[in-house]
Amino acid sequence: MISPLPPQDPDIDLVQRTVAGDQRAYSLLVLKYQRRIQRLIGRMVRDVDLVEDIAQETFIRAYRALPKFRGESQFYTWLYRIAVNTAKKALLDMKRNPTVMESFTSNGDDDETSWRKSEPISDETPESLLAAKEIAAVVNSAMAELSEDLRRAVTLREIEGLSYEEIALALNCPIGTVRSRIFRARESISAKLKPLLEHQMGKRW
Amino acid sequence: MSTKWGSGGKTDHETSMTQSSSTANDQVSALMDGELQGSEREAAIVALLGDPDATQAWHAYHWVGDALRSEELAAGAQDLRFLAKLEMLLSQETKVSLVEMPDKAVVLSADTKHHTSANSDRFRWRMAAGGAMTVALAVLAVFVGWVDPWQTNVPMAVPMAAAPQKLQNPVTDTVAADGMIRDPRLDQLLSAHQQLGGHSALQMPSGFLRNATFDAKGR
Repeated sequence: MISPLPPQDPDIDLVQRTVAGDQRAYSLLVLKYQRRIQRLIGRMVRDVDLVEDIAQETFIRAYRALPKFRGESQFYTWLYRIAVNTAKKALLDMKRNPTVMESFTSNGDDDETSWRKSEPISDETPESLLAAKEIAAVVNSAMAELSEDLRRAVTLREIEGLSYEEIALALNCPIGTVRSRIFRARESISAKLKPLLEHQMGKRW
Repeated sequence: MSTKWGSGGKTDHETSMTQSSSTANDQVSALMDGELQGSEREAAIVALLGDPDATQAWHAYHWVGDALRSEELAAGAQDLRFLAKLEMLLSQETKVSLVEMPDKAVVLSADTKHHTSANSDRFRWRMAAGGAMTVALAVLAVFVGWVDPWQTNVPMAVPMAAAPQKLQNPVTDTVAADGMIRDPRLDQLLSAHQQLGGHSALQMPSGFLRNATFDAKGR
C-alpha cells in the first residue's frame, strides 16, 4: 500500500505566484494570517488603532521582501519575525507614549508567550470584544449542531492539527471521507458566519 | 435557450452552478489543509485565484479554524476592511519593476536628448531607452519599494499587469510630435509626483525629487 504524500502547505505556492505578479495570491495570504498577526501585535501594543497600523505595515514590509523569502522556514514564521520587528520599531519610535507598553522595549525576549507574563492585553473596544464573543458563540453553536462524524473530523483537523491520513486512522474511515466531512463541516459553520460578516461589514465578497 | 427547472425550484443551470461551487469549495478546503498534490493542487490554486466564491470560502474556512482555536481570533468581521486598506496602501507604491523594462517602451525625461534616426524604430528606441533608464533609475531611487499592484476598489482584482520583479504586459507607448517615446503611465506617475511637491511616500522632502520633477505642460 502506497502511503499518501505528506501535506504540502500552499503558502509557498501563493508566495511564488505573488512574486510572479499575481497580487491576488498575496491577498489570500493576508486573509489567512492577518488575524494572527493582529493578535501577536496586540500583545505588544495597547492602542487598538496602532495595532492595525502596525499590522498593515507588517504586510507591506512582507510584500516588499517576498522575493527574498526562500522557503527555508514556514511562511508564517517569516511573517512573524517581520511583525515583531515592525512592532519593536514602532514601540521604539514612540517610547515615551504612555499608551505603549514600555516594558517591551527593555525586554530582549521576542517570544510571543513571554509577553503574557506582563499582561500584554490590548485595549480592545467593547464593540470589538463583543463581536469576537458573538462570533465565537456562533461558531461553537454551529459546531454543536453538526453531526458527530462531522464534528469529530473538523475538531481533529482544526484543533488537534492532525493530517487527513491521521484522522482517517483515528476515525477508521477512508481519507476521502475525512476530506468530505471536514469540507461539509466548514461549509455548515461558515454559512452561519456569513450573515454576521455582512451585518458588521456592510459589504460582502 | 429554454430554462429547465430542477428540484427545489432551481434551474438546471443554478443547480449546476451550485454543484460547481461546492466542488470548488471542497478543493479549497483540501488545499488549505495541504492535502492536494500535483495537478489537482495546481488546478485548485488557479481556481481559487480566479473565483470570488472560492476566495470567500478560503477566507471563511480559515476564519472558522481560527475561531475554533481561539476566541481572540474570532473577530474576523473586519478582515475585508483590513484587506481593502492594505490594497490602497500598496497601490501607492511605485513599481520596482520599472528598472527592469529594457524590452518595453520607456519614458524620456526633460533631461534626455532624443536623436532622430533615419534608420529603424528599434535604433531610436534604444537611444531613448539609454537616457530614460538613467532618469528612471534616479526617480526610483526615491520611489523604491512602491508598487502599483491592485485596483483599489476591487479587492480581488484581475491579474495585475506588472509583477514586483518583471512586467507581464508591455506598456503602451506613444510617439510625441518631437519624436520622444512616451509612457503614459509613467507620465501619470510623475505628474502625480509633481502634485506632491517632490515629497516621497514617507512624506519626507527630497531635494533631488524637486530637481527631477516632471512638468508635462513645459514639454
